[in-house]
Amino acid sequence: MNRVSYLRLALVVLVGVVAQISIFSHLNIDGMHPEIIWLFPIAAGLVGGSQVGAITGFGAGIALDCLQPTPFGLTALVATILGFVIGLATERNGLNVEGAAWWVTPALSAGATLIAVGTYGILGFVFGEDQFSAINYLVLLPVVAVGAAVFAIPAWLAVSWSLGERSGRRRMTSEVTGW
Amino acid sequence: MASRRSLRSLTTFAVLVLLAITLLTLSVGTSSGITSGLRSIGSTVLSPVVGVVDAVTRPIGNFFSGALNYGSVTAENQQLRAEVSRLQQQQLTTAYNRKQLTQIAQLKNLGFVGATPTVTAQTIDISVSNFASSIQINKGTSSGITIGMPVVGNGGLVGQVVIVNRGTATIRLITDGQSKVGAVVGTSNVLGVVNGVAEGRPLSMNFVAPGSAVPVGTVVFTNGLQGSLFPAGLPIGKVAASSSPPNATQMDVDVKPLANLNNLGYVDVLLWEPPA
Repeated sequence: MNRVSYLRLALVVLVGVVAQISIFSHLNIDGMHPEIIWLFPIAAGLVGGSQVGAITGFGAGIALDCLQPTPFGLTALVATILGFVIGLATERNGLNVEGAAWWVTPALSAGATLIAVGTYGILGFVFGEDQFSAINYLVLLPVVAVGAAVFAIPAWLAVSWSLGERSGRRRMTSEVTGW
Repeated sequence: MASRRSLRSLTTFAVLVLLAITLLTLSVGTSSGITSGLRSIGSTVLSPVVGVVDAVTRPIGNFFSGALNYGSVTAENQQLRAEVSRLQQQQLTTAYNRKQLTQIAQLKNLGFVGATPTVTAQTIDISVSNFASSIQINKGTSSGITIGMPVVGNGGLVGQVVIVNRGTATIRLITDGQSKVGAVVGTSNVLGVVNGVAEGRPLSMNFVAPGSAVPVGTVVFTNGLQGSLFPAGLPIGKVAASSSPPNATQMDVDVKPLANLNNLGYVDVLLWEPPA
């Protein structure tokens, strides 16, 4: 990965953070809103591997932590682990969305986001945030899972573009259109 | 070659996780200067971008919201006009009462919120996280706002400033689980700590001695005791339920916030800082 790729990735993450705060935070569904921020470490892990996934997760998480009154560093911690684990699975276990059916990326993203949000809640509780146990997870988890599934492909395309993986765009286009 | 890449990846991961845990440990439980500083820097850098996007997207959202709720908006407008007239009348009486209270407070060497200057700010955002109850306002350090200042509005205590940059500030609402306010029940000597539980849930007043007189409907105020994070006399809410279970070490007291936290168009930030 060269410097230009990192700059493009930083730009994509910045757009994602701004979209999360300015747009997705206002999509109120029974008091909860989608969390697209987890999609960036997931996509970076899938496309760039464990190191890129971890760095993307840390950057996206710390940027969001600056704008939220939640424990500083918690989003960064969970997103770093998420990006690294997804990247590691891609590298070692052959987890590869290239050539897979069109629904694999959304399904994988939804599942990984569910785990990330659950981990966030548990770690927050461990670090003394008692109110995390009072969150209505029966509403929150479906909202974040559906949100992640819907926006997984745009996030994946954006990250693929930033890392110079243009084949991703071509492959996704053929998957969606069937051509 | 592959193992070297794996080692580099693992090292990067370990460093980032350690860094995140360090920041997390520093921020939890205390308002660490390091994390507050980092948060302020990050917020100062990102907030203008968020503000620009907000400025573009908000009118579109407001337009659709207003069009869909035209009837209720008109009714609310009429209701607010009536409310303003009533408040103008009250203000005249309050000014006289305030003057008297200030004089008494000066005589007794007590802090009184009536003498504290305020900054009125507009709410520009509501909870940005699923895990916290907060609002964002359009005033920041350039208006004299700093971390820890109390915020009132809609007839009661709203919360406290937790993140601030030059042009905006984030307020942690009293319903947030991390909110803790030293309180007194009405004009009695019954003291306790009012904790937030979660958005939409009543506040919980803890450490109230069993058998204390806590009548339902009584207003709960900030107690302003030494070292308190809030000045004395700010109305927090009304007692919604109270009970004293047998053999319990404290009473169960539910408090309903006085301020309507779902409809905070404007709030007042008290330019009051907790004692060092």
